[in-house]
Amino acid sequence: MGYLGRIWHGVATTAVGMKLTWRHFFTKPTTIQYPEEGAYFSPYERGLHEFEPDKCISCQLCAKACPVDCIEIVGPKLAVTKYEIDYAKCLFCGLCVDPCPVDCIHMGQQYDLTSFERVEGTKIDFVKGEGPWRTARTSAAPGAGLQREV
Amino acid sequence: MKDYIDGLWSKHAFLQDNLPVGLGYTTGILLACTAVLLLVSLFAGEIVWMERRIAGRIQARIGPNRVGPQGLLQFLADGLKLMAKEDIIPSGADRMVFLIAPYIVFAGAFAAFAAMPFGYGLVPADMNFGLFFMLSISSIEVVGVIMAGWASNSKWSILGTMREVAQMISYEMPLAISSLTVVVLAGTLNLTDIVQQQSGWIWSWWVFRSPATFVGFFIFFTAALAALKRAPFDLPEAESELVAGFHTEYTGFRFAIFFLAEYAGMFFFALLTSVLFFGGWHIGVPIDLSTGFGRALGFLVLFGKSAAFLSIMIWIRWSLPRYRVDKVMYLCYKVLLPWSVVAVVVAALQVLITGGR
Repeated sequence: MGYLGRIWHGVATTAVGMKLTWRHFFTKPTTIQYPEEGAYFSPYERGLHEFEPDKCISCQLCAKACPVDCIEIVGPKLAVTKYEIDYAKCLFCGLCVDPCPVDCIHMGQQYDLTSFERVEGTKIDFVKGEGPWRTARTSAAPGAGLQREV
Repeated sequence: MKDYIDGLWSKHAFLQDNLPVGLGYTTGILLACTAVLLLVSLFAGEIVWMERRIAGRIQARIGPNRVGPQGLLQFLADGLKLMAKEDIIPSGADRMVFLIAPYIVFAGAFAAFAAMPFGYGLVPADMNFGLFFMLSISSIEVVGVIMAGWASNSKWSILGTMREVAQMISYEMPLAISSLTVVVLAGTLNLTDIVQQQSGWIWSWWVFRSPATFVGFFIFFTAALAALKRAPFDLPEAESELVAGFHTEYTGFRFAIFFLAEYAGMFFFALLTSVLFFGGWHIGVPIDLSTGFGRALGFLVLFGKSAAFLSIMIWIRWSLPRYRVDKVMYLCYKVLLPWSVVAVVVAALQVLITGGR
């Protein structure tokens, strides 16, 4: 390649690269602005649990199935007073879901265990619908979101 | 502005009687300096924001958008963060030189704005040799860079410094010679006059008036990129090889000064490109810009033009890979330098044939 050919080659290849980034400039950013926007998860995502307290018969099958013993259930059949999961232990395996005879515990879509304040404890009581995290389904409105959304 | 405040003393007897005569001159200069310093620092900060936003979009990200509206105040947050950092001086460093270096770099970058016409009648110091002054004073930066690199007593710093000095000194030649194309045709080094000759329609801008200035513009812009050590000529700072070049050992506020000087330099060359080749504050249609509204419009237009050139610089930076050291020198001495000389000769011939019209 001669002297002028090289100059031309330099200009032409520069133009190719510049065109590419020009095109990229007008693509939509893939960023998810985290606290405001949520990420997409599969319907089969195993996130925080969802619990239906009026169905629970307090049979303790889920607590027995749990490999890390993180579920604590107190109260009579169909009127449990406490259904508490310790998320410091929970490994989101989903083994508590299958044995339930009345289908009252499910794995939900909520993945977010963060909070804006320092919190005490790592447990969520699903009957009271409250817990240490700012998770909308457990703390924002008691009972809200505990119904399974189809 | 300086002349206006100085003129107050000759007009009002009260000031003459009660205050020393030199005070008007000094105040005028200080005010002009402060205004330019504030303007340049603010805009340099916004260039950092602009660069990060454009880079983000090119990489399918968003970029900083949290501090202030659309992240416009990001540079304040960055500056505060840098000021809160510890000011580390390496134990092997040449202390005095190490401490002075950032200020020399900043002074060089900032003093270049002294002769810059920001708008109609808005020039800190209207010199007859404005362009010459600017190009020479902006090369003071090299001295500061050598001091910083040498005093740091670090291999990364000294390697970056050697590259940078070689590059900056080399590229000053095509930079100065390509700006000569305009000077030869305009017949003046005064930047205000150069801008005034570009009034009227868009084709009276220097870049469209002669093939010499057209080629000159591209050489000028490329050489400016290299003199600013912007990618693809960012060998002196090559992050992947040299950590950060000459300011590797600097932290906190001193690093912030280097950073500011770098972006002030970008702003300077973007302004100079618009002033020399793209009509300065003229908008490309013949209207009177000497009225109050016209001045404000011209000021904004000049800033818009420089913002456009800055965007192009940023676009280039996030598109192109880095040059090899010998290729940078090849480009300077075998491509840009000969062609800029050819452009000046063509411009001179044009003056000879057409009588400077």
